[in-house]
Amino acid sequence: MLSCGIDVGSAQTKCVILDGNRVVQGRGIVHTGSNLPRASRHALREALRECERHEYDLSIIVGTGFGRFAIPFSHKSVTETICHAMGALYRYPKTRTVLDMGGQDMIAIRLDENGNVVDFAMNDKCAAGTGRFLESLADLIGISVPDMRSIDVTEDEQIKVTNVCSVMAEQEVINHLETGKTIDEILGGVFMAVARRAASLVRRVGLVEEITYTGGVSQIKGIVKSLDKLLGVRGNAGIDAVYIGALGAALVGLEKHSARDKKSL
Amino acid sequence: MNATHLEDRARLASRALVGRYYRELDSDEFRDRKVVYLYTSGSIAELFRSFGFRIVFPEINCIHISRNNAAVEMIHHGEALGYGSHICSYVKSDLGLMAGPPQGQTPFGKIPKPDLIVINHTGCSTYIKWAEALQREFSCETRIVDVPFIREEGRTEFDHQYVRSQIEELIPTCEEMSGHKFDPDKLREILGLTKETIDLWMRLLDYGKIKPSPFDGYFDAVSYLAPMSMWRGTQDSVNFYKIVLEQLEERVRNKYSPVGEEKFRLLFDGSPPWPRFREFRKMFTDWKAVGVATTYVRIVCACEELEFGPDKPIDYLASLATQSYFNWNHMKKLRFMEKLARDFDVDGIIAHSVRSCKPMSLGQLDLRSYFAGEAGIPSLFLDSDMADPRYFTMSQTADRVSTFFEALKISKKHAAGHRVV
Amino acid sequence: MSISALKEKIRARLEDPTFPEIVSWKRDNPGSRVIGYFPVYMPVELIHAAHMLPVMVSGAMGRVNLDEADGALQSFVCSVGRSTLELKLDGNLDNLDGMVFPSTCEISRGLSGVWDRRGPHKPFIYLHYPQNVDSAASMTYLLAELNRLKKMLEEIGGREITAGDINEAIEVYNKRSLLFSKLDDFRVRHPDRFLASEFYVLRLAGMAASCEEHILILEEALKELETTPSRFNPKFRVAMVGAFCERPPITMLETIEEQGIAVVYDDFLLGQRWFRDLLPITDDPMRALADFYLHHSVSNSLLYRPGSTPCAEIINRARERGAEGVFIVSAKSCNPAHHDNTCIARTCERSGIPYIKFEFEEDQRVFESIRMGIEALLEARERLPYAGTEHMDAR
Repeated sequence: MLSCGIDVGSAQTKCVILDGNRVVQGRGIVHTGSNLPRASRHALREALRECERHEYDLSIIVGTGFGRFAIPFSHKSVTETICHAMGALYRYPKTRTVLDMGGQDMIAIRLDENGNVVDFAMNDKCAAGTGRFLESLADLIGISVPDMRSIDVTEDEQIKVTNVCSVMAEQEVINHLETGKTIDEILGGVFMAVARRAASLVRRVGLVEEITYTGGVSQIKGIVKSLDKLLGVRGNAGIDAVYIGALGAALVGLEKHSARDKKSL
Repeated sequence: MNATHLEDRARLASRALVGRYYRELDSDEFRDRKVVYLYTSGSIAELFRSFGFRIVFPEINCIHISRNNAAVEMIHHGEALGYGSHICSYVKSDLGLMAGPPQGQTPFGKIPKPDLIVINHTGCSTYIKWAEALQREFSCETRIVDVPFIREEGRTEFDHQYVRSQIEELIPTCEEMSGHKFDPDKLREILGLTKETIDLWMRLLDYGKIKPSPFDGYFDAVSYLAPMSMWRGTQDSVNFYKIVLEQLEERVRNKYSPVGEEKFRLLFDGSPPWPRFREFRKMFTDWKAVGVATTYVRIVCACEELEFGPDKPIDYLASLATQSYFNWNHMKKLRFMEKLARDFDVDGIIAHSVRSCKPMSLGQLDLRSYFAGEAGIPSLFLDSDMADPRYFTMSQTADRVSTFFEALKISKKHAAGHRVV
Repeated sequence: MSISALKEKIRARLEDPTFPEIVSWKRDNPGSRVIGYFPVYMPVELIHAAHMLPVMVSGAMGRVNLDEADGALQSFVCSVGRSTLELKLDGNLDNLDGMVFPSTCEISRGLSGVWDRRGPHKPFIYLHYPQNVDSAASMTYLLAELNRLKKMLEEIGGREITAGDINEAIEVYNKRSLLFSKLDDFRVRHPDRFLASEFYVLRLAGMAASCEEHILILEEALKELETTPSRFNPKFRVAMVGAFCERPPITMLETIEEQGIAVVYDDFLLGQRWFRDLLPITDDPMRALADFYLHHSVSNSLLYRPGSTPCAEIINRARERGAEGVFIVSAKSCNPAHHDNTCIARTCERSGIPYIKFEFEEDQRVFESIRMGIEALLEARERLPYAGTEHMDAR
């Protein structure tokens, strides 16, 4: 049997296909854009191509992410918190805390020893500290968010960027640019601003090791490094962090399917 | 048993009382009576009832404005007067309403201008600024009854004497404005009805302990709140709560639950988002979750045994003013919520933080943290506003609620022996 | 030392969130205790009378990251509230022997409980000042409340506080008040020689210093001013009101001054100048303190008086000092200020006084919008020879 998870995020839509032995068979990732059903279909198509299968081969399709209700062909929708928790646990079995850093939301999740979500916290309404925040600052600095991923900077204590308000952060970055600070120095401040916001959220639920970072923003090395420093840990952050939500959704699908099978027996 | 029939009686009765309240405020029959503005937390409305004042509660007007989807317009008026985003949305909508045009006109009736504003400063300092703004607009008499914050376990003796003296000091103003002499017997009689109302109310709230709960001790309870605030001290409020109790008894006999099959029992802290009340409620009922208890409804009355009774009317009023939940310190609130969680056997706690109301909301993050952490009770933090719908994000709120219940469902399953991952 | 050098020396000390002053005090006064208090008004004379050091804990001037506080307080809480909690949770207040929260506003009230519950336990008290100053019962009430504080101080210090101790403290603080008046008067008469930002920093120096030490600093400044030459060319004199609690960033004031604005009146650090007159020396100094709170407090946004708000008094004071305009400033999310600032703005409009409104946060580093607002105001004035009703929201 094959279970498919689709995570429709604000920036990217991801798809993961698992077989009955919980082995990843295919993955797909596309830019979400404004047409969510189309994005989910394209992501699915990519994943199916990778494993040379067809939609009718899928036993169950589970949607997650902010656009989960816009997947016309899914069988079930589950919140990203549960999916990220399950995906992180699968990928890093000793995970007890998950920090999902997405396009417009950050979620900190604490799990018990059995992998159940016991607490979670989301960022306040303000977007400061999320992927959107990074995008707007990236525009100002003249660098793209994908390019940010490979930049490895450490915080220079002199360059502070606020994480309380996106508008104020923009003003500060402009000021830094005008006063001749380097891109690296400014990025260091920006990364630390995001990391502080995220670390606050982790503290709200209480950090229990190991912590796993998921979501697109967790692919930025500089942010992960700042987070590790603030939390005093070495968190798990794989290059496949962006797929964790879709992976979790596929795992949910497996579970639902096997429960259904048991019932019908 | 016809559940719809049961529900309608209480709601119809409440609506009738609210309708009558607003009609009488603007009716010729009572036009010669002076108008006093009061606030709900620590209200001493009975004193003014004994003098025959028409009593206006600006906060309650704002609640009804919000529920009638008229808040945004009023808030815009208030903001046009210069009151910015950090100001309480109740204040803005009320100032917008009273500035007009047309002045004081709501979808449910016309609110008369104040002849007297009494600031029962219980738990909320914004009451003072609100009253000052109204006073500037209407140049009316303004008085204050300053109620010390419960900063230790309970109020102190000198707190009580201070409040009681201030209430007594109001009497000459009331006599002068109303043209009636102070009648302590009449006040005793009114307060007797108040006590009866409060006793009925406390009994009503306790029905949430039953499994399944015959009503939603949050969403239904706030709907039953109006007579407690607006009609306290009258036979009408006593009669109303007797109707509610009869219905609850009937429901218990029929093992009725407002969600059909009760799956989750919750404690709610904080005001509901009035403009989105129905949608907010549905987010919980969709999960078969029932609010069995709430701290919010205890703002309008004492939730502890009071030292005095109606036989000592001024002392009793002073006690009522002091004991509002709104006026409690953080640790007192924490311990009380712990007790509620235990007594009502809740599965989780929902803290709805409203940005406008700092006295109610500040501390909720810490409380949530305590309950989810040390106390081990799953707790969800939501944030919006009680009156301004622009701060309510449907998708974000729904997401958080869904996540909470998904996690709760899984951990309940696990507790019952089902492996999850 | 020049005034500007003195200012920089004090500033460097202020910007250390670890309160080295407390460590120095304890080293120089073995066995002595330090009592922290949240703004605005505190009867510091009582703390002084207990032979303890009163320290105003009013945030960290942007020097701490709100790593812990963010998880305990929502973002609508003013920055001074959040950073005050952060100071405790970071361990910067470990040397305090007690903490007092006054009934300044809803934030102070709610914060006090969270502050108490989180982090290491400290002796702690919340004071509810009477808002009904006209009640016959308010004196009895306030005396009882002040005695609660006195009792806590006596328990911590292990000694009784006598009337003599309190009167001695009153004398010291009166001496400081006289120096404040002299300095204030100087900056009104000579804004070209004594900048508002310097006066502000000189006042800030008293937050964690003993009153005696603060007096020495103020006396030194006054002496230095006698020979300080003119070094600033004021283009426009203003009153700056609304920032009576949270400390406005020093750089914000400097930014304003860079554009030729002379601030001839402000209500910063209101707690230091809460009374209109000097406290009397009496046989019953507790009663004197209570009486002064009830009947001699300056008109302000935190103390209710039926039928009046501080708006009119602020405009009068501004005019007396030759202010040509008003900068209505408030800490972001400061409820008492926001309410009254609306009234002040309308009063300015009705009276034809130019004004601008803006907000600040503790850790704000860039003031571009304020700069633009001031530029616009000055340009508009140049085009109009009379005082018009120009007003603009700078933020």
